[in-house]
Amino acid sequence: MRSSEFYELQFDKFSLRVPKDCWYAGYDTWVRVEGDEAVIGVTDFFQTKLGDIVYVIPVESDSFEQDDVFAALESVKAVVDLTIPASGTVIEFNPALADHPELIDQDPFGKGWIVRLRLTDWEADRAMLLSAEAYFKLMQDKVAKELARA
Amino acid sequence: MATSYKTWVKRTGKRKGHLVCGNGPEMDFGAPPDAHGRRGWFTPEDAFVAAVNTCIHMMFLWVAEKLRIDLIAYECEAEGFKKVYLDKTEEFTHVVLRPKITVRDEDGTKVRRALEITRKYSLIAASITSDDSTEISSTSER
Repeated sequence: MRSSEFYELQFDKFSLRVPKDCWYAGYDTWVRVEGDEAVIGVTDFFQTKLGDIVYVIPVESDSFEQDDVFAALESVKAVVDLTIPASGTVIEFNPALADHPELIDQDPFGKGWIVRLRLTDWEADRAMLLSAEAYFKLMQDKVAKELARA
Repeated sequence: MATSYKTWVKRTGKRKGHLVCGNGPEMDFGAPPDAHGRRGWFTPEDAFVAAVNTCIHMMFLWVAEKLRIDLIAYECEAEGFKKVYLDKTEEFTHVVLRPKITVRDEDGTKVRRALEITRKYSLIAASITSDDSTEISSTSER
């Protein structure tokens, strides 16, 4: 990724990126639209906060509505449910994550994608999402709150 | 999140003292033989190397459970290497851990990943800041 393609926040030993070609939910998932399909994953901030991921557990379903739980992530430190940022029918969950869940840690916006959907209500869903710039500001606030708690 | 841990020490004699740990245990301690102490005493050097070894041990058990590794046995020798400088100051330059791990039905991939995660999340190992300060060289059996 070229530096012009993402916003970046650096602090302590971390560098958190927010690619400009995605839409974001306030609960730290992203969606990248490719025609009438979309790829979905979790953000750099989210995977960093969660810690090393050891299992990805997809919810078995043919379709999801925006805000449905679509998977659970188990890390060394926690287990969390993931809420989907867009509605659609499931094309596939990322098959590589079964043996290599660490791809989410290593490349959350690329090889660590979680599910591919055929979109069913994108215009309505997008109205509920944040642009990269807006999510970057939200993420900065979340990081500041985390650091204040430390 | 800031969390702290306390210990208390009190002089009990020439080159020895009594330690009370925040979590309850108490013990006498003293200097090692190479620093004018005696054999058989619990020493700060023992405590340092044991801190790394026990922290790695507990973290590995946790991570192995998370990775669903069927762990049969775990034991580990840890060795801390001390350097003495020209001005007589001293420093542990690195600690080598030699775990022997026995697991069931596993080709070693998960064990290697578990050791990587263990090294990363071990509070004590992560707190030693010198380069390459903690090295894990494992042998695993099936």
